[in-house]
This record gives sequence, structure tokens and C-alpha cells, in this order.
Amino acid sequence: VIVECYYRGRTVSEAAAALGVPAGTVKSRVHYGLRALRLALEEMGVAS
Amino acid sequence: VSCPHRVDVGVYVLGALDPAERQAFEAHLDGCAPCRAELTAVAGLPGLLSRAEPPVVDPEPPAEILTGTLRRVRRRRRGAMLAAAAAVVVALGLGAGVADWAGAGPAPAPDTVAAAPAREVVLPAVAGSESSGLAGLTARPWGTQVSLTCVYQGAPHPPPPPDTPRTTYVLVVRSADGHVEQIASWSPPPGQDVQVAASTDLPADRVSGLEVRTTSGAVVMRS
Repeated sequence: VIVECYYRGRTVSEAAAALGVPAGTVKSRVHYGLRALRLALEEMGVAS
Repeated sequence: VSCPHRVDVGVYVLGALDPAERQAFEAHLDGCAPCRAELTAVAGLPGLLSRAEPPVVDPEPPAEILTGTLRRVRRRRRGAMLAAAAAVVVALGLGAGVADWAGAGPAPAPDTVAAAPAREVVLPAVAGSESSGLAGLTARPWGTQVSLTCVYQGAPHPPPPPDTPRTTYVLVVRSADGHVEQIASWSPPPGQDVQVAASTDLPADRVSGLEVRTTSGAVVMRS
């Protein structure tokens, strides 16, 4: 979802159509994905 | 899950909300402290993503892997646990992805993986400006790395024709002793969010503030 929404510049509804999931699922996956990314980066000491 | 709009924060910082949704979310943001806190927590990530190599993704296999994994996860866990497990799955996937991108390119400089504290700086819009900014400052052995995200907050409008005249903006860093230095410039299409990477030889603890100005000197946002 992050690839679709960020790197491909798609909107939530475009990403939802491309991935075949509901728009709400795109939002929640981006939400958890960004939190996980932040955590992973914190563990690597890149961001705080 | 204190606020039903909280999941909108992620897609908002990635710029993936359509204009109507974005306007509604920004209106909500004004009155919702938890969502603003969430925004601050993830605002630096697009700047970091913009520095990573875009991954080459074959759309089919990841979808199968994800559904297969979710099916296995669902067998083991239910209800509220599912959300937590999915987050872990995504974390593992993302961690591997980040490692892949880093490994694919030239060897990263040692200081890009060294532990370095980051500081977040908010640049509120100056009166009359339609954009505000969030910057992440990371101390490096050679100075300070700055990752700025400008968020457009004006009324949404369709993408302008390519020949629309553009404004050039510059990012200025103020040092503790009052010196100012321009460390980036860009000319975005109007009405867009922008991610800017910049750096300065000033040590992070001597950076006293950041400003975005037009080339004619008008301050657009300031910390």
C-alpha cells in the first residue's frame, strides 16, 4: 500500500482498486505500515 | 483507537487522500489533538521514503503472500489481536524491503546507519501562506541532515497546466549566532505537497530555526 500510495502517487481509491481491497483497508494498512516503519527505523537508530 | 479518523493520518502524509477527503480530514485535524500527535509522529517518514530507492515490485506475488499470511494469522488469532499481528507482518515485510533497497544500491556510507538522534521542527504557515512544514533534523558527523515536508493546506484544485508559472522557494537555516544560510531550493507546481532533502555543515545543536521563503524574500513558513 505504501508503494501504491507514495511511490506510484495513487489516491486511496486508486490503490484500493489496484490492490483489490476496500479503501478502509488501504488506510489501515498504510497506518500500521507507517507505524511499523517508524518502529523499525527507531530500532535501527535512524529516526526518533 | 481513540479516534476513527486516526487511520487517515498515514494516507494523509503520503498525499493519497483525494481533495474532498483531504479537506474533510484537515478540518477534523484542527479539533483533534490525538490525530495531530499521530501526524507529528509520522510526518518525517515521507522525507525518509523519498530518499530510498523506489522498490521494484511485481504486483502479483506480494498480494498472494499477504493473503496467505493473513489467512494463517487469522487461523491463530482473532479480533483485536489481528490488527497487532498484521502490523508485525507489515513490519517484517517493510524491514526486509528497506534492507533490500539499501543492499541493492552502492554501499551506504557508514553514517547513514549510525545511531543519530533526530529532532522534529514544526514550521507553521506565516499569515497568508497556504503551506506549513514539518522538518526532521538528524545530527551527522559532517553536520545536519534536514528532511522537510511542506503540506499544502489551501483549497484543493485540479493539477495546473504544465506551463503555469512557478514560484521558487528556498529553505533557510538560522544558526544560534544569527547567521542564515540557504540550504535548498525548489519550484513546485502550485497546490502540492513537497518533500525536500537538504543538509548543512552546522551541527544540529547550533541550528536555531528553519524558514521557507520565496526568492523575493517573503517568508512562507517559519519555525
